[in-house]
Amino acid sequence: MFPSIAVPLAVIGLAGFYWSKWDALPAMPLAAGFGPGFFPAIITGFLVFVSILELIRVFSSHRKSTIEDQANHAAEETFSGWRVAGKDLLATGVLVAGVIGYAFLTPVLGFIPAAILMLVWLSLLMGLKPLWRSVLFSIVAAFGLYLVFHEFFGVSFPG
Amino acid sequence: MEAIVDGLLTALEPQVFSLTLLGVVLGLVMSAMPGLTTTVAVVLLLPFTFYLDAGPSMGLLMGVFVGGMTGGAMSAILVNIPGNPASVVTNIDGYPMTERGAASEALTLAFLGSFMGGAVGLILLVLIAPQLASIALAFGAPEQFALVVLGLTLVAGFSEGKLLRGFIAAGVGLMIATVGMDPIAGMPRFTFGEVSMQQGISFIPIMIGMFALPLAIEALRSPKGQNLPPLDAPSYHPIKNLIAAVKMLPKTAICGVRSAVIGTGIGAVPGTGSAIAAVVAYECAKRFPCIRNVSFGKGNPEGIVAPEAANSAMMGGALIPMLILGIPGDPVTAVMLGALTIVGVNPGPLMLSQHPDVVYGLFGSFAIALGFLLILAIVGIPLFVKAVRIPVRILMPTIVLLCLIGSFALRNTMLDVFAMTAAGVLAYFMKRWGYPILPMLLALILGPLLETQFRMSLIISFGDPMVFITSPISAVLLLLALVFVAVMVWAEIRRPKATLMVADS
Repeated sequence: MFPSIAVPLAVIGLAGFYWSKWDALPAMPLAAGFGPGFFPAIITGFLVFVSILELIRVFSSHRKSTIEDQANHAAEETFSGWRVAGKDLLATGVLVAGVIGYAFLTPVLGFIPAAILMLVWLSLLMGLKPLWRSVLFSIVAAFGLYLVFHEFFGVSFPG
Repeated sequence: MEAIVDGLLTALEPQVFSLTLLGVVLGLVMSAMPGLTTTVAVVLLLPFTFYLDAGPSMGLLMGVFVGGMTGGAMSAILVNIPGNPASVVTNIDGYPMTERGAASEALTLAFLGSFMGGAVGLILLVLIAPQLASIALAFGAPEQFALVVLGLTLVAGFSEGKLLRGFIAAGVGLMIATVGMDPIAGMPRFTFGEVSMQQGISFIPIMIGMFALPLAIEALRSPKGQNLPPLDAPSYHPIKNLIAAVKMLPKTAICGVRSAVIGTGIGAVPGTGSAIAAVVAYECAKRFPCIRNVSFGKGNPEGIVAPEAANSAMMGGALIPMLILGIPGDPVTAVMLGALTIVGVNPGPLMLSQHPDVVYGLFGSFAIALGFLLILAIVGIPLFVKAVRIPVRILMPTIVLLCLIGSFALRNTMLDVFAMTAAGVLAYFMKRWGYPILPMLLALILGPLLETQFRMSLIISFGDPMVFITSPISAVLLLLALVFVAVMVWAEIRRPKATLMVADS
């Protein structure tokens, strides 16, 4: 139930932040379509409205369930829910770390070495073992994609 | 007629022709891999098109579209793992045929169904598109605004059936779309003082991240992946396959054509997609079978032809609103719209009159891709079987690198790479928490159009909001959107409480 409540609340918070930014924009006459803040104002109102409706829907569907259903549901959420969330965050963190590492290493080392390091990082954590196999795959993939995209299709590369 | 011939000649130009064939092969291979969908295949190949003209670009993407719609059936039939949402239906009768040793027949039926469906979808597309274009020319700002509202509403409602969550996703997408320069007053907004933000947030890297990165995060979350069952490659006899296909044609033609018409109609409605088309066609085939005394769910040929024909015909249907109205109805046509925008071609009512070569060239590429698909069905099946077995731990890191390359290539800035990554993380958690991503993406694409037409309508009417009601077309479109919302709300209220609890867990 936590994400079902947290997400609409977060969206309302985001709409509030959005409001603080468009509210500072100048109002303009009709000839300029009422200015740059006009449409964002409508979006803010719409987002708050549908988020409140979603919260009402979540609470009302929760109330309709029996006490036994709620107890079972709460029991599922306590331990396994947090463990699942931890796995999600860890997986996300690994990927983001790989991308950040790639972004910072590319200007320093160049595309191919940075790509190889990132591929080794990800493939090892996805289960490609032993290390030599992961390194071999990374070298082949990095060079292969560079040749196809950069040399054959002329796509721009960083670094 | 002359335009059709010109289009075919455009599609037969060496560069366009070869890229179309390459696209079919890549679409088949990538979509056959469990975990990759046609959408991911198209998104990953999008960066290839940055340096191509409109014709070759559309040829490549059309080829991937055609190949991808069929490729998903291969993993569904061979290893019981659907490669596309629509192939979940093909799997029902496809895998039982494999279990009794008729995998080659099942694959031939899938390709045959795809060919029939694609051909009917293409014919209807060629017939309907010009008629719709002449109607759409009468659309002014209020009508365009109402059309986008209807399109976004349909997409929000059809995406996983959660209307409110679809609206929330769409609202956030519209919010992101306002970053950059105000399209009417020309003032920067939400740029936080950064000059680079004045260009706005490009939807291309967002699209790449949203469709491809969640797969990589899932692979990191579950590194052991899934155990594929043993694979017995179907026997390779091109002549036997050809004879088998010809023999099956009389029995399956009616089912195929009927399913194709269903698929085209459903595909033309934004937000519906191939899965809905496949399900409706399958249910129709069950109710009105052409082959008697053969149970569905145990290897009935119609159970394969119906969803595959509908699935492929959906392509023709989905191209109608994308090309003629500028409203992509599904993720793949959203990518194609992005590719056209990059080369300076803006889909919409004027598309046929301003860029007939691009439109009819695309039709020609569609036809060529279908023909090549049929050839591959006869001689190339074993070549694609191996693609089904590529391990996730090799595939996913490669996909991540493709995403990084693709998102950088558009504007040569790492900001797009970070935007792509942020979008991928956001999409992953949206999927985990039951929020559809397609409404957000389409809102990001159509947001500028929506705002421009809305404000222009008010300028033209001197601030009178009744302009959206006094225009008959606009009024009807907005009414349709309201009716749709009412139907979805009614369906939600009547849903049993047990499913409500499961949906929110």
